Amino acid sequence: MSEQNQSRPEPQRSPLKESRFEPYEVNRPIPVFVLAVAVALMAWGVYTLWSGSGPATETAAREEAPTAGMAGDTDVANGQGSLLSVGASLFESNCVTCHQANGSGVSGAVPPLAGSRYVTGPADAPVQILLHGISGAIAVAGNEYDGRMPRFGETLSNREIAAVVSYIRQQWGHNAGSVTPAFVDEQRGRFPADRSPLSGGAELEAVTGISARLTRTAATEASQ
Amino acid sequence: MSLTIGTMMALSFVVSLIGLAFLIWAVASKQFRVDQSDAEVIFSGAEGEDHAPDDPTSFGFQRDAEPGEGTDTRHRKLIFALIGFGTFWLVLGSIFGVIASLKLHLPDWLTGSAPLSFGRIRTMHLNSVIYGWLSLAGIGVAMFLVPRLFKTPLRGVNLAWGGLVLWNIGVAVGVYAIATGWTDGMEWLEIPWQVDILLAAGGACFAAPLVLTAINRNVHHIYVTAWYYLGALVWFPVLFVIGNLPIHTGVQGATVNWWFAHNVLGLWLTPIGVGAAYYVLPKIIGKPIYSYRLSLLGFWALALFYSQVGMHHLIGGPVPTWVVTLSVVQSVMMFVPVIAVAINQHVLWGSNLWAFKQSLPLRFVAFGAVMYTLASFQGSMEAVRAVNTVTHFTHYTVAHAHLGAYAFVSLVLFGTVYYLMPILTGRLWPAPRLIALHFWLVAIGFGVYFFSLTIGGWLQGLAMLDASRDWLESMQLTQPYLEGRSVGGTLMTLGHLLFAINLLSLVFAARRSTDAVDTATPATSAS
Repeated sequence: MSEQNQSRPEPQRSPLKESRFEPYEVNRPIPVFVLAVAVALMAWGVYTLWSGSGPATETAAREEAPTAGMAGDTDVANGQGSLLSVGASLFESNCVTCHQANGSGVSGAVPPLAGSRYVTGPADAPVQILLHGISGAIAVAGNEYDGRMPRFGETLSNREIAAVVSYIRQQWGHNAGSVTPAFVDEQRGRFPADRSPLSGGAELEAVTGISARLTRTAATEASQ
Repeated sequence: MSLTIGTMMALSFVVSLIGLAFLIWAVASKQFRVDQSDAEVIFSGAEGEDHAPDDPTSFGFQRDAEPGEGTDTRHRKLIFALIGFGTFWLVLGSIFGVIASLKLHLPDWLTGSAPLSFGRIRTMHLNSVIYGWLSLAGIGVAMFLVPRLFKTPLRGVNLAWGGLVLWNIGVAVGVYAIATGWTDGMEWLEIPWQVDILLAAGGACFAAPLVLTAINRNVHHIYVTAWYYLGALVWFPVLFVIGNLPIHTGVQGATVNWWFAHNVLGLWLTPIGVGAAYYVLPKIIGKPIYSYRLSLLGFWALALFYSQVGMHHLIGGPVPTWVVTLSVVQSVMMFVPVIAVAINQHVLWGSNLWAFKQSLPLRFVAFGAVMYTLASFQGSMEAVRAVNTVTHFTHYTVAHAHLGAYAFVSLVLFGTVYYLMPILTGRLWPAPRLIALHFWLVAIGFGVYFFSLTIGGWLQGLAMLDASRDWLESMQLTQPYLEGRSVGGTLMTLGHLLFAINLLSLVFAARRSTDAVDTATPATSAS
């Protein structure tokens, strides 16, 4: 570039010493692969929008769940299979966020359902917890927890509570008995609907007779 | 689905597809009657393929130099002021950013005062760099490019000065309001709407002169850079006013929030960066852009598909699924314009690597152009639900935001400023080595920043998804990566200080003859 500079005309302090070249674009065609990508993406976009227009909202499962439960009401009376499928749907929309799909809970925060003596023991424990919620120290499957769970007594019907309790009592290798809506109704009668949440494992022991003490034997016995 | 706004928006995707198909057909069948000879007639100096490279600092001033229409510099002080205030906000915003970054791994540092708490100082960083640095410097570049692209002097210069005053007051008051805790409470819309009125008025004072200049143009064919700048000038005011209207609440508020926030990137900062790169790359190299038809495809596909990509930020939120799905689809469709722009720009500088090696402004701009391609590809992938599940709510997203707003737009702006200042002042950069140092500081700093947060963010996302791990673990494991981010951010901030020093030394240096500065330039006797 130096020879170019040396042959420059008498320099002036004009601020406009730049090339007269103005950028422009050559009139080349669009490469075929760009068109191919565009067409492929268009097809994918239409397919995704078309097939993805199922549930109406991101949280649709939650809103549809009660409907599913109601639709299942007649089925609940009919057979075991549909009771469990309604329970599975309710569990997925109300419980998995904390207790996880595999029932493992969240370490240090949410007790597991899988292997819990409160799930597989006397059925009044899970039903009472669902009806009134629970708050405070509780020992489950070898660990201590101290959190709180909201009540579902108002949001779920007797049949829905029966369905979801039956579901968790027969998932993850559990083999405890199903629960009937009548049993849930009976359990509702034990306390006023607006009572405070059960206070941890201690009150559960008083209500259901399941020992709050955390021992291997207690857990094993309860599950039998 | 009944006929709701939702149906209409889903229809908009179909309309966009039809628009894109029509565009491709029209381009393929030569409905746009601009051919090679037109291009050369339009630009009088454009005969032949090869021209001398144009970057005074690297190649000396041109000998065929001759003032063209629209290249008068009566308004150059306006451009200096815009870039100068932009740089002020850049340096200030970078300092806010470094403080916020340090606080993430030194939580007990500067805990004494509320304005220095993380939530406020991070927000002050965001608003300083977006509305202060990127917007002001971008408008400065627009004030330089638009008159010369339309070959006519800039109209309404005094109005633009008014805009500069209003805009700076708006940003200053806005950032101060955030420091005191007064915000609108939505990301990217934190500046209280009462203060936004100042920014809206200031923005109008910037837009009017540029649009008036375009109306009075002396060219028939409009070069691609001008499409992007005019598009941005139309899009951004609409976005800004609608996004800031204090009427959006609840789910609708969140939707408008992300619609606005993402469009600031795609329909304001992206046109500024892509448009500048479209001008500076061929201008410095002295060779034309690869394909006019690809330019058309790139611009119109951006215009058709970008406006609805923002709602992928609400994946998993309580918004209608189709809104999010539409947004995901539109995000992935962004591959089309990005590939078009990538071919047009990267073929040009990639086949002229000699210029890339010699010209520092070109190096900044080409680096930024590559980052545009990468940021867009990454963004399209992040919008897909499977990826978003991991990256949402992690530092990964922060790395991505900086890849776009910093590595792409800021670097293109650095390069453009380094290119245009010698032309406006008639002086060479006094210390080209400091420019090179600036480049390496921000390039290395950004690399450290980006890879730290990308890796750390991904691991954080995996940890949060793993229910068997304590949530706190997902925080603790990011600590070394956050420290890496602080190192990278500090290097970038040092680079910005150098940028400011370079600008000051050029503008305020005593009028020295260029021979004292650059041996490649012969002695000159100023008139």
